[in-house]
Amino acid sequence: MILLGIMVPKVTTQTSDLVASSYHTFNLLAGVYRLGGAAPELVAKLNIALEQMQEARIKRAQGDEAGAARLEEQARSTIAEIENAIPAAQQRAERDSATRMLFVLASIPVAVIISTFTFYLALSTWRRYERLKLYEMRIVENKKSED
Amino acid sequence: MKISSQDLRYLLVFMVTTTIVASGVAYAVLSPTSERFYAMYVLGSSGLVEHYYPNDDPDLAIGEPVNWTIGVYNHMGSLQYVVVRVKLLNSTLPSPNQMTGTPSAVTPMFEFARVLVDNETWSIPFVWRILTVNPTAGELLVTGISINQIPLTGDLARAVSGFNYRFVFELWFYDGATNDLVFSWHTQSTRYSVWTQIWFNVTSTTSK
Repeated sequence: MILLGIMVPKVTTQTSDLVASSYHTFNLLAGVYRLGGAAPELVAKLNIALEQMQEARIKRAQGDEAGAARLEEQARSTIAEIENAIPAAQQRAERDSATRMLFVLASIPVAVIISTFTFYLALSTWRRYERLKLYEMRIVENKKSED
Repeated sequence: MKISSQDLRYLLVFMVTTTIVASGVAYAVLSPTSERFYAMYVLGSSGLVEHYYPNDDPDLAIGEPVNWTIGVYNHMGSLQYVVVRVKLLNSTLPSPNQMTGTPSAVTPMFEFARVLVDNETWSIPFVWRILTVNPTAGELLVTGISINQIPLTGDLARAVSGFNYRFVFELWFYDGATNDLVFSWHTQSTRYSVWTQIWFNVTSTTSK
């Protein structure tokens, strides 16, 4: 992790289109996560871009305009890379989300069938036990009456 | 085996109950709705809630390094773009207002930005020292501070006799609705914002 700062007095001369791009890219990435997907490699790249942007801000505040411009260009290129990779991540997330939904929905009847069948087995075992007890009692009663 | 009508009734009741329970569990799995919040904290040099100042003395001297760690935890249930804004205040400058969700009006002197996934904790080393001060008419004006080895200069903050300066750390985050960073958020009818502060004095204008 790189720590970055802003010189005082506040320097807000960073190209606003770059900040807007980072917001836009974040929105797209957040969409991937909202769908239930994950793209940690893209999040890591976006964090790199944010660090580059902040480093650029420091450079500019220190008067190094060329260094700042170079870092901003790197940040732009990193953001562009992320945006190019997002459609594939979105598709993957949609697919994963549909698979997860299907799995969870399919597991409901499966769980119901298995547990009902288990309940049925327990119930029928109990009934069989009751019948056996009854049968046993009848034998005892018959023996008593024979005696 | 033949099932009696009574057992059939039991089976039906059991099946309906299981279906309801399984559906509830499936709903909980598909849409986890836990309480959403951010947390932010500052730890001392030992990484604990102690030893915030060298020798535990909040009266700092020029050049004395202070070692803190800022922690930010995202429990908002989604990816978040967060920014920690660092402000240097004295006791009279207004603090952020938790009730109204208003940040301090003071210009941030430093920022840390990062995208956090849900349940991620971000630890930020925050090593700082006072570089220069300017005593004027009973007040002490801090004119230079180094944060993580980046020197910041200007009229940063003034305090009577150098007492009661404070670093205020505000947590801002990106809000898609306004397409900008915001300081507070709503949950039902309550407004939340996250900030913390640590006080210190600069009682000596010379290095220790």
